Amino acid sequence: MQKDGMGALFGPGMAEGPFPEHYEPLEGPLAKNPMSGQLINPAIHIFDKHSDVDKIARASEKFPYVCTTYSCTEHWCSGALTRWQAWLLEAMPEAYVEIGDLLARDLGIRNGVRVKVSSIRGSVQCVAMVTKRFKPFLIEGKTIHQVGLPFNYGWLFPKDTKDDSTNLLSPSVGDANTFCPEYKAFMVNVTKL
Amino acid sequence: MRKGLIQATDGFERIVHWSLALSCIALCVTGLGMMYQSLNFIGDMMGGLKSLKYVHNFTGLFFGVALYFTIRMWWKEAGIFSMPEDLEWIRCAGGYLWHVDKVPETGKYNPGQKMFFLAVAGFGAIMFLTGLVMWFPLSFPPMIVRLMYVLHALGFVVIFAFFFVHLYLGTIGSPGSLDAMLTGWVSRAWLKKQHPKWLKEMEEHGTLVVYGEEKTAAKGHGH
Amino acid sequence: MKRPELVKLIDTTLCSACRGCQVACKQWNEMPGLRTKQIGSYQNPPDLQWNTWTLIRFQEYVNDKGAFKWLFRKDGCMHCTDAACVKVCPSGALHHTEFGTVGLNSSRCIGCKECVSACPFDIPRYSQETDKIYKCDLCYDRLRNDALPACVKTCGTGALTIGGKDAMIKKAYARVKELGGDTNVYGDKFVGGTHVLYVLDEKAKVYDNLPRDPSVPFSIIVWKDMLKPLALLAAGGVLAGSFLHYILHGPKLPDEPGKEEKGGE
Repeated sequence: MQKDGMGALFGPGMAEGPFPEHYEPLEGPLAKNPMSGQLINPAIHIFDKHSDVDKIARASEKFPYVCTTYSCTEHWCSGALTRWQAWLLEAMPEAYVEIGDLLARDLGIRNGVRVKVSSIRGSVQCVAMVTKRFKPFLIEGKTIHQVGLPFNYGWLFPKDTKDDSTNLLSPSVGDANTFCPEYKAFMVNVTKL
Repeated sequence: MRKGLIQATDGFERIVHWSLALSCIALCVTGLGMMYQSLNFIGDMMGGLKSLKYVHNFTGLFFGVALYFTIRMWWKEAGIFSMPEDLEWIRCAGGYLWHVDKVPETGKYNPGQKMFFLAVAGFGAIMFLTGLVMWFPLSFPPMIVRLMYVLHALGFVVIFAFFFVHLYLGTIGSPGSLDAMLTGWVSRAWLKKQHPKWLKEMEEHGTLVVYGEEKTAAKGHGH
Repeated sequence: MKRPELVKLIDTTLCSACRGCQVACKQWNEMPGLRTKQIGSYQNPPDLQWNTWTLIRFQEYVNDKGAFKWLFRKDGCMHCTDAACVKVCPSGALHHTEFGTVGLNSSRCIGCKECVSACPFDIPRYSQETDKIYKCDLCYDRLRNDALPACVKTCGTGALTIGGKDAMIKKAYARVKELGGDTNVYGDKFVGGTHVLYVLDEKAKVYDNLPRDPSVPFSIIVWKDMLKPLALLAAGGVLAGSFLHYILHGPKLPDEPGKEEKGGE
């Protein structure tokens, strides 16, 4: 994307480019980019890997599931403001992790039970939402499951819930130009509690 | 009290009867207030229809207790038909509807009264049980609750109609009968006309209690 | 003033399940938000409650060809023309308004809960705290002031619209014709026609908690249309009969002393 907001096949003036290229996320299920020899964006800034919160578990058996994060309609950003609003909290009260029904069956997880989602950087506990909407990917001949968590919960209100922030899981990495965080794809494990 | 009057009911019977009767009337009146919107004003004297609902519900509990004692007390006397004389009595409608030369003699309760008792006992129990379900309808499946409303309404149709039959035959339709339930003392002539067999039975068993006379034996009523 | 008969159209094919209507309804009607739990669904509260008069029902559906669909349905009062709740309401708290909708005069409600089991759509909800029932009144106060119901006003996708009955029914059928497939109009064919119409994405039988062919329960017809008048007829008949008996047959008097064993009167 250029400064005027338009996309272009030739985009000079950016940290990477000028031609479009496919890179894998910093943390993904693949150890090798099937499209080229460069696995991740070479222009991004990577923090000290020796810090606990900056560790990476790429193509690791310990963290086999792709995780994505998003917002629910009812809360804004971390929800720290909207979770004080009783009507919105009533509609979306607690953190949850959406798990495809196939993966849930494999892991023996029933809808509505509490589970632990962990990455190499940290872990959160929340309610499992088993759904048909998450379907497994077929990547390089392997079936890779994906799970998803909203990022609207954690720490503040309501006090009597044990919800942790999804930010405990995600890596601290952003795109090379604006540092728009790469929270849409990283690797986790899901276990029954 | 006049000398020569005969005791037809004792105090316990009368208290149970009037507990049942008055609660039944209160239930009919409050029930009507809820059944017909044009009678909603009945609630006004109780501080609103909502209070009327509570009056109806709690009177219903009282009615249930009264009904229990009523059934326990009169089951043997009024709940069982004695054949074949009761059948004959029913065939000639007790002489109430057309002229009958010889009405079969009846005991303490004639078959008409027995039928009334059974109707009150049966439908009263239905009213009580369906009423309980209607009080807590959210604890039962809707299909059951819907049926309860129908049975409650059906019970009302029967009891409300029978109430007027009872009212008529207990007062002006059969003079002297009211005393049996008010003071408990009736005339020998009334007893001979209404319940001749019972009179004979009491005389035979020596259980007849005549005012002003010394008791000949222990009281006959066993409760 | 003569008001037009109104119909609200819920086009489920346009609904994005943002639940703006669910919250707007609470806001306008000043209903509190209560604490809930995440139970593994976006549908929350899990059901209609005394403080939740409209609710988006979420449903994951796979048709017989294996195609997946996430179905959204805004649940709430259907405002029947032949409304079972109005029929059973003892106090007139539930009534038909000049718009053809079913209004609820809460001050008259006595909390008898008869409407709860009567409703073929399972809509009215009871509050223990106030001992009253609650349901959508299609924002009667707003309609009276020529404003849109709160849910319609807030709907961002055009899934909710309201207008004159005939025009809305026409609009619903035009939409179904445009969409084709299994889409269908739900509401105009039963209980005298509802004042809330659906354009359903799938056949009615697919949806949870949506009766395929709702009707006023037969037990209520027996109760209100048969037994209710019968009660008066029977009692009146007995009174009339007793009177006739008294003047024609006469009371059963005890025999005069000395004139016994004559029998009859």
